[in-house]
Amino acid sequence: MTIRIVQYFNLTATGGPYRYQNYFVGDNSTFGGLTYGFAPFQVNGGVSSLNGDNLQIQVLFPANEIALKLLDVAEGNRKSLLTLYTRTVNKNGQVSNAGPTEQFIGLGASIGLDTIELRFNTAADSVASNFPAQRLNQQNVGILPLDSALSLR
Amino acid sequence: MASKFPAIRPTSRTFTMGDYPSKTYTSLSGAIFKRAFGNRQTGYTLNLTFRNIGDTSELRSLSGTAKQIIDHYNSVDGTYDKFNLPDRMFAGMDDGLETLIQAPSNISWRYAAPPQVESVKTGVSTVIVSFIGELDA
Repeated sequence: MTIRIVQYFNLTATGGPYRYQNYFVGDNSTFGGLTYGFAPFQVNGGVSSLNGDNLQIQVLFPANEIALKLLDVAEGNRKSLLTLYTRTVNKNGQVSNAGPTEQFIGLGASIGLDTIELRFNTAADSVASNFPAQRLNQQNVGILPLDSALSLR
Repeated sequence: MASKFPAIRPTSRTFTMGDYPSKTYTSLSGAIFKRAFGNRQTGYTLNLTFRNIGDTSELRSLSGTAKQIIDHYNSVDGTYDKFNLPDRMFAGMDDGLETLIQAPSNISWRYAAPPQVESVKTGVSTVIVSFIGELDA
């Protein structure tokens, strides 16, 4: 059995959006009426659990001009919004309409000698039974974090 | 793109076609599952031998010299920079086959390893070069 998979990366950040796909090498691909250029990235991570913890992924790029630009416009990938579409492709290059669509917010980046890893997180976390019956807002807790790393005590 | 490889005739040539990037999962039952990651072939290889060529002066027409090859290797910064291959590299090959090999789309040729120079006798050497054709991001 075989499968061909393409991922469409739609990042909103300053001066964006920035749209890339990782299957059609050196070509543009149109998806959802929008044009995605080629970038050699791969998506890792994404562990789902029964508790509904938020999902973390890493998007790995070679340390090329595209990745450096994304790093720059999103201020180290701390101010970005990512929509990631995963779709199958047939032998003729036709992309399926159905497949997972996930949304993430930027969580930072790791910069290596030859790679740049952009880290993302889903914005919403699960609500556990011990969650306080009080609404969190800036008036009672101060400035809210952009990710869901809230510590309840 | 850096300068073409010198237009000289190899004495022997081995070419390997590229392949589509994919990974295979093999289950305990032996059934396999393959996932493709791209729509173009990559990883072409071309190994050339230039047997008994002059070190600095051509011994036969279009046989080239070891110096020409080393000069080219230096001019493309070793294995770093990409370059084109001249048609003469495929001398003796049928045109229909050469087209498939010479012009795979989006492929960049680079040295896979530094050239090997084997001294045969005074002023005569055998040079072995290997190229790799890969997709440029």
